Amino acid sequence: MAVLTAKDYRSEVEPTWCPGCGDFGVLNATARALAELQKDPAKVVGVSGIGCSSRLPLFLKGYNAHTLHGRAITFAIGVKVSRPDLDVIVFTGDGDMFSIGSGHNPHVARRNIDLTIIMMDNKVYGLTKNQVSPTSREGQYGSLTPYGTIDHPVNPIQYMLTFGATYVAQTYAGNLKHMTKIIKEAIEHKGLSFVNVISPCPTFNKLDSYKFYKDHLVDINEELGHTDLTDYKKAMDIAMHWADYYHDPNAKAHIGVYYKVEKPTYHDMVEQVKAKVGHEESIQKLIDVCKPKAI
Amino acid sequence: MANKGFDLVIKVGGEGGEGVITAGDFLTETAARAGYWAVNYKSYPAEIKGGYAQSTVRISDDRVFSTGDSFDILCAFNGEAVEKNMVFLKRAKEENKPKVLVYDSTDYQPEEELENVIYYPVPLSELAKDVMKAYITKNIIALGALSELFGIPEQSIKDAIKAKFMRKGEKIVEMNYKAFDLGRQYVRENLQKKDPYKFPEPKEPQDVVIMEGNQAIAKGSIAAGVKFYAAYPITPATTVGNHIVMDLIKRGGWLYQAEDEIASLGMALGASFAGQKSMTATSGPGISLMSEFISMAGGTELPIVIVDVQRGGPSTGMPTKHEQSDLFICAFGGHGDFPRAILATTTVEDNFYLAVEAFNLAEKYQIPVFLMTDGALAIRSEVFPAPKVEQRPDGKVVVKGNIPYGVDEIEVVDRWVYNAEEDKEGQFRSETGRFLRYKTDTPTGITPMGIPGDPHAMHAITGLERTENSDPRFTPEIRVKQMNKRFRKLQTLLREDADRYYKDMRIDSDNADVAIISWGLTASIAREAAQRLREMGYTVNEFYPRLLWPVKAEVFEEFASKAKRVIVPETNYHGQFAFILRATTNLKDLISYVAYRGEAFIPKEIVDFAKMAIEKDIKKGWFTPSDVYGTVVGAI
Repeated sequence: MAVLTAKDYRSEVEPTWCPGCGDFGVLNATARALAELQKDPAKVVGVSGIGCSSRLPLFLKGYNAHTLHGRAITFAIGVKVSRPDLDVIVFTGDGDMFSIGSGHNPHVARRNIDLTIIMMDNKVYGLTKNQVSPTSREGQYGSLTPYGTIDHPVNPIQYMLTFGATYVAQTYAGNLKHMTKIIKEAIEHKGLSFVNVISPCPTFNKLDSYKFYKDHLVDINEELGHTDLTDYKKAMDIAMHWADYYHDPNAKAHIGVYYKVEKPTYHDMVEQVKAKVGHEESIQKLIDVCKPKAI
Repeated sequence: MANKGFDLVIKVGGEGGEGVITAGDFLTETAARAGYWAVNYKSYPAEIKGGYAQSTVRISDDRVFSTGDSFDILCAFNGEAVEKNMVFLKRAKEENKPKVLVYDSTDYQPEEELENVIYYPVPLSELAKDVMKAYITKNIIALGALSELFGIPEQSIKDAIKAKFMRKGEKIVEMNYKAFDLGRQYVRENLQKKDPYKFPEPKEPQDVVIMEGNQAIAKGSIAAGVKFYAAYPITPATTVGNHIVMDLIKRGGWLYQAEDEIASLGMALGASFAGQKSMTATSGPGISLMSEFISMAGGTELPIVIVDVQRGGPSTGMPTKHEQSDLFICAFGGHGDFPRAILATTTVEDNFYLAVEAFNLAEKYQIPVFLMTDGALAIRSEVFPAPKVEQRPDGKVVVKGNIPYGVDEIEVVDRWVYNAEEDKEGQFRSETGRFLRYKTDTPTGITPMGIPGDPHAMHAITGLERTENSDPRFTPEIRVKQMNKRFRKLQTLLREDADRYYKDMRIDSDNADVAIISWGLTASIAREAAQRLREMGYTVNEFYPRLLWPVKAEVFEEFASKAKRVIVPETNYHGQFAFILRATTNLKDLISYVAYRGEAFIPKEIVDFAKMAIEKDIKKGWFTPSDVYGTVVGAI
């Protein structure tokens, strides 16, 4: 097979995002990561929910499913569990994954299903034209909170670490190189990987802008020396500094890998069960157990 | 059917956990081993432990499909069971058959003897505790007593006991035989037979299976080739999963216990998109939660089987009670217009075969298919002729047997998967070579699916309206073409497959006194009512469709034209099927006859209403058993 380039992973459909949307970067980084891994597009399945970010799979070549608001993870589990030979990537956003769909997060993580979840975190509902999301900072204005929101945001990294994700990282849509590296690692990781991409929305979120992040990012691996990625407590500790970043406008946001461990995946466990139970070729035999037993 | 041969109803009632249900199961299996048919209607208490449980077993020469109006013999494990059934015992007076009460005289003494009731006291608890030194043998002692009193073949019942306990070792089998013999001995030494009920001689056993309703759905789905099942526990649907899980693993599939019903259907659809035959089973509240995904399945054309084991609604309603009130949500639930099909089962045997058919319709038409059953059928057991599954060398699977709705066999359908080799002319490719998943101009509306892994059929699916190659687009022209494509599939279904589910029809007269259209469990009860009406001299036409949606209007219209009145008995408030028939056919004068007390009809209620409708010349309207009897009656 000829060597594939990033372009070969893009569909004919042109993105519908606003100019300057961070999601363009995520699309590019994903295509590059897939090209670097030389994945067969026919064996990559992108699954998304609803929202600006969830349009992304439509712009990728391969098999893609643009499903329901908050339900991408459920659909992706069905694909992966029934077809473990496929690479399944969930594309989601902060509203999709941490508001309407948040009930699915603990379960996909604790089961260590071999999916890659890429969450584009723009901290706002963009498709419905500016409402605050579960990751919006306090005081952010939205059409339903014109007084500035009084809600506290959630910390996606801390949540996914708590739930048992085996790869947890954060990256930034303005840094194509870092993003490509992280997404590539996440796809290669065996088990549930969660990548939170800080993805600015220039249209509706004036707080979390490219300008702001230009000098408010710190690389936890390179700059803070977080190198033992199996150290869960350390990962949690770093994730907790997120609170500073939300409450203190001068605090820095983190990028980098928080946590990465190898654990048996859901599929590994399924294979063990199947081996133990064995195979029955005859359907008739499975029906005949309902006959009165011979004695 | 005509109750001319042997036909006996034995009810066992008592405290949940005392082996009441097991005793009923033994009687059912005994019938099968002795060459007879049996239907066993069970009800468990809503409580986890304790509470009243009962098992009503009807054993007969000919196949019967309901447990009748009431029991002939009641075996009461305690006083509560007698009290619960007092209303039926009192009815013995006006019936032309006596009723028998075999009761635990350790727990209960009748204050007065009712007319036409024969009493047999057996100190079940005392014998279990003092003689057997094992209270758990109470139900087996009871079986011994029943065997001696009514001539239930000793060997058949002992074989059933052995089959159940042999796994636990010879000692346990011996102990149970001893308990059984004790019951027989007690009757021999202490009681004089005063009743007319006598089990006939055992016959050569037939090739039968004994299944519970939810088990039959599980087995039928396995025969259909299901590979993925998403489960979320809900009464009374949970046991479909219990029954399928190990079979599914043995067949290379998997059952995934989801975090909620929304997730269940999402996962099942993901598996379907990935190319697998896929299903979920739930009850009313689960269907409500799944509605958004049901709409997506219809819109994106993903095959899926959704089993709805109905229970009493609305809201949490009556989880352990019978009702047929989900027809509206299955027919109309989910936003927007999209094609779907509904199959409804009338017996446990139906559950098996219609599960196969549900997959066939889902896979052929790439639509959501509801398989509707209910809580009473879920835990009812039936003895029925063993189904045969042929796995042909070419991979085709054919299901044969005594298919109750009149077809000879069911060939298992696999979905139309795109094959680039066969599409040399590029019928399903755009000018630039893109796969046209949603090509609009096929005659049937059906288009091949692309399965992940195939480089020639890559595509996206989206809940958005879309072009033929699945790009989101909302222009009027595209919208109309796509909508018409989707609904053309239903027209094809009506043309090619509907008649298959309309064969269970009997026309006695072109101007019958009454015609009955019924569905689900109620159909099985109506069938018996119709026979009794015939024996009374009325002409009766009957129609028990298994396909409830879409509706082939002309079939119903023609059927209805051959009777003076049409009664549609069903167990919900609105008269939901009659409502749908009034809306989709030219039949406006249907008589809705409904019960919504949480129990199935008994045949007598339908007989009495039909007589009233004939005598008073009723042609339309909405009636309940209260209109016949002036009061709410319970049947169980």
